[in-house]
Amino acid sequence: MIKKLLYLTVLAILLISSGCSKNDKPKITSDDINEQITGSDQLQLKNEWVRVSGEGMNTALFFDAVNGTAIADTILSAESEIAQIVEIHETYKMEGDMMGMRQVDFVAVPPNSTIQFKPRDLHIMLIKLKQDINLGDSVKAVINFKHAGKIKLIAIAKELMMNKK
Amino acid sequence: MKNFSTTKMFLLYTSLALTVFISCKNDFPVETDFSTDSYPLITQDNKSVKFPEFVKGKLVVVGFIFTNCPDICPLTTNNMRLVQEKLNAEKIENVSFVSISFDPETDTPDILKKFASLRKLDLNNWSFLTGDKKITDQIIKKAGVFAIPSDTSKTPSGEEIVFFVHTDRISLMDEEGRIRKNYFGSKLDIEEIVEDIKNY
Repeated sequence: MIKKLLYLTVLAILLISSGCSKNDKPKITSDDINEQITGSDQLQLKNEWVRVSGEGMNTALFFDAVNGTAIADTILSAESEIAQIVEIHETYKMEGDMMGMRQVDFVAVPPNSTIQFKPRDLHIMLIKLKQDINLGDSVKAVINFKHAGKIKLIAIAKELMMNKK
Repeated sequence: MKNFSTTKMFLLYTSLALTVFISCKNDFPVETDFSTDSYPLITQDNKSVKFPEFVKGKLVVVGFIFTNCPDICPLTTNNMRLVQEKLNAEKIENVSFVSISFDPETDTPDILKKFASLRKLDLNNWSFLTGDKKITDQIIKKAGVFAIPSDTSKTPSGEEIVFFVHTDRISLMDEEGRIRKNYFGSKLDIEEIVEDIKNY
């Protein structure tokens, strides 16, 4: 009888402990992994593209820097093997219909915000290209963030019109 | 009496037609008159031309660019392409396209040809023009286009790449070489310029 009680007690403890361990370590599904990569609590680059151009010429690379975190970050620089010089630039409007372009030292990316690198605005300037960038080509680059570190991107080459508005 | 009425009707219709014609033209006052000018320039195919003589008799969409420009000038060029495509789709002929470089020292015919080729532009009725800097300077000054050297970047070998602060401009020129209307080149309203071409 005592043996039987002891056996039932051990069995109950094992069952309870296995139940507890199941709750502590939930099974990770492929959906969960995907959520970790593309979830909104990340700093990500989206909509990457680069404008077609030729060897020896210059071009601009664009993307959205999506900061889904609660921490402010800063884009400090960019790198790419495709150009002799890679700089952060912005196009700016002057008086009348005059437009200019200048280098900027850094770009702040506030928490829970999206900073767009887009035509007539911020862009990564690829100066003196080492090869042609034809329609549909892929260009690799790295964006250096103060906190998030290096984030790689692949931009597809296209020609895009500016929305008049 | 019958003859008198016919004459009156003819005069009435003629004056009405003239009024409509004149009022239409008044929508496009002359901005800059190049009609008596003749500037020697070179096309992307190394062909010598006189501007605007070589495009006289057609409406001309004129863009002002430099190929080292990474943002505004490619947008201007792409907008001109969209106008060309729309006119082709609507079977509107008698329109030429001209892109004038204000950085001719960099923009040789070969560079201009490559700039067009990379973008797969239809050069059947589109010329990219370069030439002596004094000449291109005269043209842009007269057109009211400014191009001022500003920021520069240096390559590891020490080569300086000059960028321009410049006017963001596409112009519509009439058959005689007179600029009739100016538009923002990089944010051109395609519908607007196509309607202007149709209504001119």
